Amino acid sequence: MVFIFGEEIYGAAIRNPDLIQSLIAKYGLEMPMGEQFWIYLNNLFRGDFGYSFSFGRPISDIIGERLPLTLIMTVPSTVLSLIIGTILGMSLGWKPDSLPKRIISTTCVAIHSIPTYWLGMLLLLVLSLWARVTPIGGAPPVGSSILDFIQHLALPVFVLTIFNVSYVAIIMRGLTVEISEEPFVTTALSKGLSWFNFRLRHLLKPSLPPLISLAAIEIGFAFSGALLVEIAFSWPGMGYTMWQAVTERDYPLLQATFTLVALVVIAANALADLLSYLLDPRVKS
Amino acid sequence: MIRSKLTLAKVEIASIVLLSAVFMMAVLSFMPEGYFGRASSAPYLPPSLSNLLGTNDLGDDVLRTLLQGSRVSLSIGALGAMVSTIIGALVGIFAGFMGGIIDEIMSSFTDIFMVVPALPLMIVLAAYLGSSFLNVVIVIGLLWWTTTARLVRARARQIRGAPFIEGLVGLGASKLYIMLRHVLPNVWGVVFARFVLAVSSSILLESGLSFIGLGDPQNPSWGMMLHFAMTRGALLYGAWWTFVPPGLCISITSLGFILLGMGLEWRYKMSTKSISDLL
Repeated sequence: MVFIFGEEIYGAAIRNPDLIQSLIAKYGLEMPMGEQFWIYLNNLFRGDFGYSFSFGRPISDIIGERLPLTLIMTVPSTVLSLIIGTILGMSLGWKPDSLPKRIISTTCVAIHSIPTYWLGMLLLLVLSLWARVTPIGGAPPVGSSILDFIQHLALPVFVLTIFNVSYVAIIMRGLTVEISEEPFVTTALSKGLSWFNFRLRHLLKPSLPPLISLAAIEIGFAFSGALLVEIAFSWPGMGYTMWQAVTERDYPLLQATFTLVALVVIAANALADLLSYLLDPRVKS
Repeated sequence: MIRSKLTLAKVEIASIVLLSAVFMMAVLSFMPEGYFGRASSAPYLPPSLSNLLGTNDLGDDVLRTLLQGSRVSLSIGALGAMVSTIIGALVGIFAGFMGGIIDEIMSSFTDIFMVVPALPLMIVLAAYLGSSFLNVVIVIGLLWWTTTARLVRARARQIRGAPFIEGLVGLGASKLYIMLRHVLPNVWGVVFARFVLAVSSSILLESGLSFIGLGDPQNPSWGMMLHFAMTRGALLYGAWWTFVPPGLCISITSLGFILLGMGLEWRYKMSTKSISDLL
């Protein structure tokens, strides 16, 4: 679909006739559409995403530079939020009616309705502009110290983690509430299992299959949801690249970034399906 | 989260207070030009008596822009939610009631749409369709119907087994007739609660799209105000009055609709877990 729309854009943005000729030859742009699509797919499998007009460079170079920057931001926050969110949600969902637990659950819902990028802007205003604790955004120049890198990374990771934690916690809370009404939970409690053992085997284990598919969604979100945060912090990762592609009307680049996101999401979901097949005896039968 | 009738009342009152404040803003936006201080003056004036929320980079009164933005954000939120809820309800009823191979096809179609990360797809669609009010509504509506479809399908499947449906089939009623006259009224509660929750998400999505710069430049929404604050340097200038109010408005509106939707879901005795399907 992306391919079809992006069709007429090739060649529109460049003025260099030699480059146009070489691109036309390389991507078979004078051939019929079906054939072009075939060439496009072939190139895709060889890691050639095409040519970006706004950057004037091959797209695979740009992605190779910027994908690590997204990963270094999203991997820590995804792992952190899955762990914290699961523990938080489980304790919120066990005997959920106490006042502090209800306040925390409501706060999680409230956090959910705040735009991520706006929270990012507020933090930039307070911490970077007024208190001057953190840098104003962007990635540190190449070769800067690790401390500098962490300083730049801290705020975006914090914002992402807060939002993912609240999302995971809301879902885990719902799962726990549902599971704690099951008869086997009563049995487990009356057996006098230890607190830790009970949590691990009778609350966490039954909620693993939905948690795994949630993790798959989180991985998709790590690429897409981080997009707005990246823009707010001018962090030159994949989301920021997508934004540049949109503002520059650089359709090949937009197409490539979206294809990559879609591939990652499909892979993550296939993996989640496989894992829940291995873990859940009910799925097997 | 919702334990008793008293808590439900609290949730509903809170949501009504939040939402009436927002609707008040939409009404106030019809006041004549210059009612809230001078319509235009120097750029980046801090809040004062003549410009209650200061001015933005173009010297426009922020309060006035904010009020006009409320109209855009609310109407796109409501229209986008309406389109997505209608699609979701139709798909859900059809899949749930027909069952068999039709159900299989429609459900796997729903699953595919559910997995695709919505925001990048919306960005791609909006970039190709061009930014206009209607396109934003279409993009949100086309990509946000999956959860509704799932919930409605589950409900429709329950109803399909009910004795009165068997009776209708025995009387020779057509499937379309049963779906529209007898299944639809029974899933109405689910659909309505989903609609209210969808308004919340589409307001958030719209502001996200506008923040990226894919909103309708003719009708600046709250998200667009944040976009301009980001790209035209209000953030670096430290002009907090240009971007704190619109973000606050988005959060309040979205929270108001979430709370209202939660209350409705509880009233219609839907599962408590469906709150978790907000995204």
